[in-house]
Amino acid sequence: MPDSADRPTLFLTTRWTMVREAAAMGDEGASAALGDLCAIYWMPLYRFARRHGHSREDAEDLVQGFLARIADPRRLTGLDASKGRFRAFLLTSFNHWRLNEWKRGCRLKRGGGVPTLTLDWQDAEAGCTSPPADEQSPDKLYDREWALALLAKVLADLEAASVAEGNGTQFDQLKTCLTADSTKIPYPEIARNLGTTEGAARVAVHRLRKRYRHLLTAEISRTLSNPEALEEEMRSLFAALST
Amino acid sequence: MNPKPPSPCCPDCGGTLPVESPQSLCPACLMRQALASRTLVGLGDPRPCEPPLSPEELERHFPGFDILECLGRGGMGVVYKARQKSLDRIVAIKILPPERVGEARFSERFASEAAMLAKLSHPNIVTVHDFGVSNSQPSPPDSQPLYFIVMEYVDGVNLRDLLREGKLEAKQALAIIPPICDALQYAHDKGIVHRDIKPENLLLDKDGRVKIADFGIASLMGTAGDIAGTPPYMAPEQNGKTTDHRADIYALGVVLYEMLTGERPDKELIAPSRKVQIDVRLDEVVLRALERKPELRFQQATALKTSLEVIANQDVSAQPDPKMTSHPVPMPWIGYEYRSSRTLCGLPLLHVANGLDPLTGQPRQARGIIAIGGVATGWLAMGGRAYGVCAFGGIAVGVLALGGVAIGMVSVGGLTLALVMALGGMAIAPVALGGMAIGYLAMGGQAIGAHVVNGCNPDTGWLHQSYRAYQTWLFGVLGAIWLFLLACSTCISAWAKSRALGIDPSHASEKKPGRRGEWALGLFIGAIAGVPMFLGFMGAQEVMAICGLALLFSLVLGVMSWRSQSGKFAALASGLAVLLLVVFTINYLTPRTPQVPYEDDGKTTMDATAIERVVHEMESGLGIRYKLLPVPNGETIPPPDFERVRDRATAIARRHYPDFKISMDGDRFIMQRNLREYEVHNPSKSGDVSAETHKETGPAADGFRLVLVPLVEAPVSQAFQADGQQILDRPYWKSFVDHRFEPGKNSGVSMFFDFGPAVKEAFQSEMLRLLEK
Repeated sequence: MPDSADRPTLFLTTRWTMVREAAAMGDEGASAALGDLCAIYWMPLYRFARRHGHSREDAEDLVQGFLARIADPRRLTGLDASKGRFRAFLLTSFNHWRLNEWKRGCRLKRGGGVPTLTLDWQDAEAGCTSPPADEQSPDKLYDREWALALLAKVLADLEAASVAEGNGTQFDQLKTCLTADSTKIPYPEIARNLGTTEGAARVAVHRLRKRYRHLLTAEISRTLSNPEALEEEMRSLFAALST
Repeated sequence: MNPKPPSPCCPDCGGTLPVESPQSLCPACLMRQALASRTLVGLGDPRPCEPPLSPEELERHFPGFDILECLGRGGMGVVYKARQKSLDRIVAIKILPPERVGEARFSERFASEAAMLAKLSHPNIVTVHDFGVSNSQPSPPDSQPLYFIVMEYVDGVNLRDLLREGKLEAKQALAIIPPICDALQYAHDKGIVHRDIKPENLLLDKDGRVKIADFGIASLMGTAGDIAGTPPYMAPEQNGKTTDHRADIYALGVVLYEMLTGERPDKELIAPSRKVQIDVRLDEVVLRALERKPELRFQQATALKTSLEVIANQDVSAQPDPKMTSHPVPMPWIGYEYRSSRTLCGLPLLHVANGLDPLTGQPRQARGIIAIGGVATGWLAMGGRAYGVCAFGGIAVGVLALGGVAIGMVSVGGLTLALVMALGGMAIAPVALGGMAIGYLAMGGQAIGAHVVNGCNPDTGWLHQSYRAYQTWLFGVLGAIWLFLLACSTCISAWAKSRALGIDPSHASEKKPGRRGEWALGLFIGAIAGVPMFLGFMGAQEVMAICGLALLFSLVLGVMSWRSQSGKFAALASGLAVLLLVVFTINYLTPRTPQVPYEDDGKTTMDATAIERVVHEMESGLGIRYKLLPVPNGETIPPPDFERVRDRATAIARRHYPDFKISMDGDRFIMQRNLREYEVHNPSKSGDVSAETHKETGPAADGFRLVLVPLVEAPVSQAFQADGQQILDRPYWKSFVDHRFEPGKNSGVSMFFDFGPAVKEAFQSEMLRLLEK
């Protein structure tokens, strides 16, 4: 979501629970920040709904309606069960919402004054049809897609920051180093490609990796009410990705 | 369908890239790199981690297995769930981290250690099925050999998962730990130490069975001296020094602490019961397992298990007594134990044991050549209850027993019972000496026996004489022995405590209030116990002054250490004692007012009413408080009703002063002793019996005259001091003065006459003669 990077986010370091409360109290900035959060993570929800057999239109409406009401504490439950994780909270409350909507048998009327989201339905559709999806439970896939969305957001932020500093090409060169072991990074080759010394390349890679880790942990922390659960959340995301 | 061409592979992990990989980077590797920087593999040396192999890739290495999924990854390797095709069973395969196995001589160590691990067969230890080294069949370039261990797959959760929900019930914890202790003991007996006990390694299967995983992996992975383990669960000695099985006990202590409180122990250890509502007895167990010194911990896992089971059995509900739940001091009842390594005749040379044994809840017993403690048994036993050849303590039983209650061949103390000789407040023995002496040969205040030693008995008079002569020394020496032993046991105990608990000076300073309290208590006891001892060779005033000073000091110390129990007790007790002392001193210093106004006719000192009063007081047992004053020779005192006075006085004198020769000289009533003759003359009302009333009868007069005068407000000091000192110094008169007599202070003299047998005989014959008349 490159568009989310240039939107001002007031609540970048604030916990999502606080953001939600603030938005419920009518704080404009908080509403925007919450919308921002939802903009990152709507896709896993949509795919989740699709995997549960909702039609494309139904799923779109469900997710839109759900995200529109997310700041309303009376409507959504499941905060206790999630142990403060936004990921779990979204899924639990979305499930509640989905079932309630289905029971009512009617579609949700959109509320006024809620920021509308630019949702890329086409892109979202792409992942749903990939064959391995059938073998795993929707919940596990949801976690996996959540992690992917998170990483996409972090990398987009990282790229945006690099571009803003005028290092766009450097980022393209160095991004492969983010996945490699520090011992296996071919510094001479990178230095050659970038036209700098090996020492400079080392520094650049180190900075990028450091920045990436910082952005990632900050992003994950946003979705947790308790910062101590960071390690655990990272592990579970890793587990979701590696299966 | 996916419109894209066949997905590219990740260059790092080799897995296929998912369709929507951000920036065409492998998401798993992205996350792993972020995670890797946060994982501690070795202490202070975050080694780079190899990416875990995907299940598919791993299958190339293990053709006999279906690799189902990656279960997780830790510092000690990656674990996969797999199905062993041949046996159709689910197993766990642990791949040791390649960056570690590159170390020198790893393969040898791996082979020997793994063979030993495979021998571990215990229901509470995850079984090792197989181990070995594997190379993938189509060997990719620069691939390292994979060291793997095939283990039993435990379908369940680990303790960490349980602990995420917070602390466990004490009951649950008490159910989980004992099987672990069993397993640990089993492994320890085989010489295998886990070295990495932590909640992650304690697995609970669906049936609730507990199993220890990763046995010996830590020691396998760490070379000698290498720091391996998980920091919060590592025993202090694991920091470089050699470790043994007791490190596992420490780690288990941390796990238990975490289960009970939901938190890991802080640097400053707080007893679990101060954090949560649990049985305080669990504190003892936890704190003992967490002792920093391995020697102070449970020495065996079974010991830990036993003490937990004792608690569990005694109190299944684990509902603590509310009074018991929090104790102001973390572990005062645990006490300490020191045993010297040197032994003699199978007994340690020195054994100091105090407090309760956490294993049994019973007081610890000290057994040694020198034994000091609550209950001490040994050649030289000192303590609350002491049994030994030489026993010294509250209750002392031994050949030579010295104590509050002393029972033995020879015993000295408060209540003494002896086969040979007893010396004490109440002494029962063939030879008994004391306040209340019961025995064949008895001597003392109240002596009951076949042979009672006292001054009146001509047979034993010599014994009594010599006892009188040496009693000061006797009590002085006994007191010194007592103090010496007290000091010895205190010093040795303190030394042993510091050795046993490893208290360094900084630590000791923290405990100062408690020590001050003990000092206060000691001072108080010393002050009280010292009084009778010092009285033997010191004046009452000095003793009172010293005693008062000591009590005051003890009071101050006690108040300063009010927090400790001993301080509180010492402060209260010495406060009370000081108060009593003050009251007594005031009373002592206040001049007594005469009870009967004394009519001074200038000539006589003994009129009818006075005599009457004397008689009355004597007969009613109020005591004998009369003056003994020298009078000039030849002067007479005519009593008003001499006949009556004489009769009464004679009767009194016979009863109270059997040693005196009572005679009549004209109208004077004379009690004689072969010394000098004195007579009361004109004690002035002003109180000063001046020197002019004093006159020696001269060498011719070898008599002594006693005139009984009622107590008046008149110090006898001057009258006595001229000659009184001499009188007092004569051996005959040693027993003349009792403690109430103080020249210059007392206004009365109590007299207990006690003369030698020759005098007595003379007196008796004189009395007989007198009576026959």
